[in-house]
Amino acid sequence: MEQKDLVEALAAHADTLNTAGATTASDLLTSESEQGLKELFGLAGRVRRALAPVRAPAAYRRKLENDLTEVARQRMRGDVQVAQPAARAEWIIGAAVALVGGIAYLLHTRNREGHDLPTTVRQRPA
Amino acid sequence: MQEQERLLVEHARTDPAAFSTLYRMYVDRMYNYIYQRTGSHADAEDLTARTFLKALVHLETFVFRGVPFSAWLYRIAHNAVVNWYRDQHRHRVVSLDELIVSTREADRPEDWTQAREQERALQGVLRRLPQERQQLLILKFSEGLANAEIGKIMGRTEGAIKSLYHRTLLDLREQLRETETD
Repeated sequence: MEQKDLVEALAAHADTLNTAGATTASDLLTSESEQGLKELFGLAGRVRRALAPVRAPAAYRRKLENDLTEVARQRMRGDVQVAQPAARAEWIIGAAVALVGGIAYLLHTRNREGHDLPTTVRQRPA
Repeated sequence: MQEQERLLVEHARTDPAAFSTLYRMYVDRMYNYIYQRTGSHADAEDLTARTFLKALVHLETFVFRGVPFSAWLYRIAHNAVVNWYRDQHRHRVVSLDELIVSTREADRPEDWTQAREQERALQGVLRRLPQERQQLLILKFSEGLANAEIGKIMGRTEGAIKSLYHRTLLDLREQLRETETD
């Protein structure tokens, strides 16, 4: 079986597992020579059973809904300001670093100009 | 359906009741996704709350560009789980659910069947898979989503999802063989 066909067969099998269950899915197998594929189909079924869905407990769902609604109300009234301290701090630090970097570059450039100038002047008469 | 959801999200920015409706639509899916990733109800409760709080705070930044609201929520939940894994790695905590399961098994040694051992081995291997592979299997089997939807959530094409699923199953089979021969 070609690689592409294998990928498609497994995808089709997974879709069938989700809609019809394992019995129908195994009907996709047509030949005994495809034991490897059969093994993968079986594994997919095991994975699906291991990942059986769970629901949030009802009391938890209600409480979280009430809490979120209250936060939403407070935000809309302006009682709760959801600031972005981290992002703001990063911006300020970034700006400060850029400023210090700029000053350092200017000082460095000026110092170098200061050093270069006498050298040039000294060399000129020679 | 997508148009209705778009309107609901727009209302939710200024109307707590609309946000509650969105919450009720998705709370079980987010909870289940997080539970399957962490294996702990306590962590699932904590991370589900964080996911929706973050969604509430950042709702203004959500823009419909062909990606459903659920995909945006799944990404928030995914990031919450990634952070949780990072912290777990630091602290190495055994979840209460794992302890309860072990206690029950110790109480009833006759339940130590081969099938149960195989199930535990499978769950162990599933939790050790790379994050994107875990995410794919949960979205496919626990959430029952189609490849196209999974692609939107994971930012990949449908074909890439099919290929990833194929590679994941092969890898899983290999790892299970290794576990069973140990």
